[in-house]
Amino acid sequence: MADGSDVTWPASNAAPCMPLMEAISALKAGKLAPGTGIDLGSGSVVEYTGAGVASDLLARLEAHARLVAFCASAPQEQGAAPPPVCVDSHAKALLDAVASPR
Amino acid sequence: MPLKLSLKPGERFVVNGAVVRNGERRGVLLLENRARVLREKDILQPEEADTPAKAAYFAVMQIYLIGAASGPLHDQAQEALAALITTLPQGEARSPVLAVSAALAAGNLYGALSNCRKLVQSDEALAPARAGVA
Repeated sequence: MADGSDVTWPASNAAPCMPLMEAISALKAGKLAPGTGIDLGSGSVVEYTGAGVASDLLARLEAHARLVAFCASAPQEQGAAPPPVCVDSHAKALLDAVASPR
Repeated sequence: MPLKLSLKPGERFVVNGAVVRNGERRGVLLLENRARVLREKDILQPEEADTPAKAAYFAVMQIYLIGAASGPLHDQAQEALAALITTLPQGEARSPVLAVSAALAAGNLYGALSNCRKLVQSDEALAPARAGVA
């Protein structure tokens, strides 16, 4: 008989986490409730705070989901070269300032 | 609790997009709130991104420096992480790369960069062994 002694409650009564793909679908449908935790794997959880962040969050979640899928299937390549580096114009100004002679 | 930065004479660092340089003496700065801080020694120049791990670090570093919430810099970082994944055997060895991606997805830019730095350090530690095999 369950008397509660065998129930493990989430730390600090946090809301249960939603799986990544489920959260992406809910976010696309505009049905993700603010305060929902999203399980990203690797021990990372992000809380959906509301519509103001939905667009950026959805883009990041979808990118992460693609990488997770890629990670599971991509074969190993020996001696792979690094991908070409693109330098953002704002970042370039910072990098140039850091590298400039004193 | 403030972040304490002990600075060498002339040392540069970036705080929320501003490049700051210490004066001619050693100095200590206390940051009283959270900010995107990166020391000169942790800043990689593009020509130094000559391995898949360093290319991933460079991409994530740009996000951190700019504070980008999404967009082309994130796309570039994901491509660099994907390239890094292919250098690693399938399975647990790839988990640290996914941890970087998860931190980016969570908007934890400091965590992403910190995890990426560990990837570069691991890669550099393995480099002599790879050179011996080649």
